[in-house]
Amino acid sequence: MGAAHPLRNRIKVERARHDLTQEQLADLVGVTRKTINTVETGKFVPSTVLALKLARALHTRVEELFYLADEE
Amino acid sequence: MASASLASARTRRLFDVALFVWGAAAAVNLAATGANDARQSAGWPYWLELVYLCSFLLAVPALAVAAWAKRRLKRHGAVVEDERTVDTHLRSLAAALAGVLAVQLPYFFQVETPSAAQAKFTVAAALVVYGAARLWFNREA
Repeated sequence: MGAAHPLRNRIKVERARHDLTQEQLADLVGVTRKTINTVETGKFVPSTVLALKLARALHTRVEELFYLADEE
Repeated sequence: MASASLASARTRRLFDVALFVWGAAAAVNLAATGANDARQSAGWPYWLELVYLCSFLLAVPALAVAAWAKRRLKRHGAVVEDERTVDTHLRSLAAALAGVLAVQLPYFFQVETPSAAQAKFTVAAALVVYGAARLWFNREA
């Protein structure tokens, strides 16, 4: 399931829309900059709590920020 | 704000480097004492004693610097641990366990080594594999 439907995200796009750096977004949600980087690149799958925090910080909905590869 | 963030980034890098140096030096130090135990003879060879001393002199200040950097980061309100660092730690621990088991393999093939040396090699291997795994899992795109 996980391998067949890898999680994709639009964090980089939303971050650029809000003119936020990885460091600034990390400060907003209370994680390290590297965590934002690894979530953006799909290397780390965030918890539900972190996904909700990211969505809130970027003024969007979780399902708009994260989606499965087969939904592209 | 920007200068504080830059200072935090520098301190974080210092923390990472100091922790790496401590782990590597501690592993070398343990391996040196383990090698000496395995020799089972009185006195240390000069070169091995030199390795032991240098690694000791490197490990102790590195640990102190790492502790200082971590305290400084926390004082500045920087996030030191989050769910990804916990995940990285757990995966690195699993890798270290595999490394520890791999180090025991020679003892199943009648390689005679004093138990003190075996214990030190085991801990040294755990440190090396943990550090390597941590570096690998922490890599960025």
